[in-house]
Amino acid sequence: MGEKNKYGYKHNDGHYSKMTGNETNSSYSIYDKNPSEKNHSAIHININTNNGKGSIVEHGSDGKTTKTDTSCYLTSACMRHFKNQFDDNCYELRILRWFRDNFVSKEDIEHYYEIAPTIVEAINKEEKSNLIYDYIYDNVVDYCVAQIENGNYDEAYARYKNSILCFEESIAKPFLEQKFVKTLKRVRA
Amino acid sequence: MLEHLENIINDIALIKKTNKYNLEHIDITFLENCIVELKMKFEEKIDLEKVKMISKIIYQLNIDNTFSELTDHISNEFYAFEFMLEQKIKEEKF
Repeated sequence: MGEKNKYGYKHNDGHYSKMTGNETNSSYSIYDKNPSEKNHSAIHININTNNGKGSIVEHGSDGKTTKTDTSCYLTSACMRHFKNQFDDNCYELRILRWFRDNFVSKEDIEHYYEIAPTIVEAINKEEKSNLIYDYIYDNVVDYCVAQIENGNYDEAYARYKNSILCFEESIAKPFLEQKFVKTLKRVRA
Repeated sequence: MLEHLENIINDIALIKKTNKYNLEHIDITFLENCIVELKMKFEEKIDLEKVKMISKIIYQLNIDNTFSELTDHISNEFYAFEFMLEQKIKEEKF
């Protein structure tokens, strides 16, 4: 950690970092230079400590901003699919968010955001995570978007909900069990 | 030190001029009044609880606006003010 001054912690290579937050959210901000200087670029890593939802906000020195939700496997699938061309506000995610906000029940949304971070963590630990994300993109994102476009909202809802149940059973639960066993072994050792 | 508060007051005036900022969770006039009060009463007495509260409001404003240039500038200015206030309090103790 560098030396603290009124602009944050100054690191040896000239970049700055600092923590900010309130009761429910914390952010770690990294600036490429003194944040008081014009045309700086920055990355803000945010986490809601109540529900585990997070995001990464990137500001380029050109003023361009991108925001990435880090706890949503549908977003992660889009990120992997589009690679460098990924835009958090892409057509697919806008359609899915619209559908979520207008058709998905509050309980299902809450359940998704409860379980999705674990699913993302578990998938990212898999050697073939790219294949899983490709599968999710083709069979959930792309499929649901096509159904929504055609007005088949029930079909889109069913696929969305089934995917959560399926990933919860096949990916999240075994991952949590493994984690639990490892912790138990460590405690007993 | 007070120039940081002055800069925030100017930034808030810019925010109030447009409607492009997300003020869903923030009463921007209340925030403005708090900063003005802080600046006015600075030489008399600093209410540290109020400083903490303002800091949280500014954070919320910044996060609600995805760390936009202007709201992040406000956040940086208040961070600088808090840092200098902390230094001042430490110096006064010794």
